[in-house]
Amino acid sequence: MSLYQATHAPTTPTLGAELRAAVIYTLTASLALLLQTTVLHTLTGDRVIPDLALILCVYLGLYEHSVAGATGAFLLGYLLDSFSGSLVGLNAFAMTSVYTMVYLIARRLWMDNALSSIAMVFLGTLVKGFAILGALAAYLSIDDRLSLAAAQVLLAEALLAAALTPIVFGFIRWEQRVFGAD
Amino acid sequence: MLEFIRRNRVLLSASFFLLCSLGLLSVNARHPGRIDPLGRAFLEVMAPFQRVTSIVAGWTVDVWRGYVDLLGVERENGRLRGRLHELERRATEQRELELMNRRLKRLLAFQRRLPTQVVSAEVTGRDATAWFQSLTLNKGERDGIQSGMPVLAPEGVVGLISKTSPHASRVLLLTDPNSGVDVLIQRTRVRGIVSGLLEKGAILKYVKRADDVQVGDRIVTSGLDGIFPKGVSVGRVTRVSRKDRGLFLYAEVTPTADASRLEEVLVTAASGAELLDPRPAPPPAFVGPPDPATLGLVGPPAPPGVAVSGEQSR
Repeated sequence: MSLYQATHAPTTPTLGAELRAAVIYTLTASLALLLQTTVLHTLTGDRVIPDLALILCVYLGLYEHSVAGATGAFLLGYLLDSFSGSLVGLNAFAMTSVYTMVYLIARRLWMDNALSSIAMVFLGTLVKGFAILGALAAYLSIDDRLSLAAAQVLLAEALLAAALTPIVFGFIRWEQRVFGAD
Repeated sequence: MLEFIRRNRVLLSASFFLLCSLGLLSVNARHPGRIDPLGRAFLEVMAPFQRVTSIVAGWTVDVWRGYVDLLGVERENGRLRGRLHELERRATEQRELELMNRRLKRLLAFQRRLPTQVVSAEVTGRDATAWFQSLTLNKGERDGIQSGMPVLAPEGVVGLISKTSPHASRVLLLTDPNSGVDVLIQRTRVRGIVSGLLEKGAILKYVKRADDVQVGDRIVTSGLDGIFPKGVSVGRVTRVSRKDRGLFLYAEVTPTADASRLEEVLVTAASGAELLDPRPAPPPAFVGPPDPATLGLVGPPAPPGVAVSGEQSR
């Protein structure tokens, strides 16, 4: 048995465990979306909004290596699309891209520590930003080069999201303990 | 094949969702908002939660801002107190300027009525002891002031110059025991001498017991002493007594010019005399109240065509 097989051996979760996980992620996603659309705007004065949904997406990429994980990332993006912008599918595409990138990295590297999680979230924010810019350029012919101001906002978002990673990850683990999904 | 799918199911599903996203994107890019089957439902479900969260967040932020504002209010309160003190100080200064302006105008009007030359001067000091009554002026010999010159105020007689120096002079007040002014009772034209008392105030001396003097009578200068111009107010009789034995009655006088409140006075040449001119060939100048500039304050406006100064002139 290879190391990969040993560490990523497919397990067959029970229906109850899957349901619990679904409830946890749905709750977390809803809460993240609520905060992102209300409180965080007030706190940050609309300048930079920390992307809590993206942190959840990275969590899925790191720990949910299943079809459900990919579905969750897509739905998370779709949920974001419902509350932002006018182009449906943009965030869904970006979130799925982030999930795929994190999943691919997590398959090859040992990512089960706080620092690598933070780094992944930072990287994920950048990937999401570039995915959105790429999609906009491809579908809406918005071919603006990444301006300095946009780059600054993206960097600030990435740093903020990275800083909040331990809190969000801790919250998800707390939920998992509460719901017995450890 | 199945094993491949099973081993790569995550990647395959992710790819599938990526394709779905791109499909959604391309459809919605052409017809914005048409293909969004779940978006409406998401919005509907999340709306009440958003509303509640917004209200709670808004309330929390309001409370927090209220607290922060309270801290800010305290700081601002301190700043405004400082500002208030500053404005009060300025208002006091303004009021002082206004009062000085009024006084100087009266002084100017009074000076124009006087037949002799005058020098306006500012009171810069009071007597060093309680026994005597004198003032120090900021003008002296270099301004033409000499000993024995009468000192007047718009209200009436103030006293006599008793001592001079080049840039200052001392006034012996009417209420000093060493002073004496020849006066008339305005109503009856009875003559007498007003002199000061050690216990402050003034009395009317050398008026016969039989003469008609009543409380309230106005006393003016007679002009017979060759010092004070005739008809300048000196004071009012406040008490008359004929009980003591002797040739003369006893009458107390309250000077009309309250020396304790004087700030500017006019020094005039003695009746029939001329002010000495200490400077060669002075240009014609207007004699008025002290130049406000020398006081560091803004004074009354100068009459057109004349220069306001503290210098003597004809």
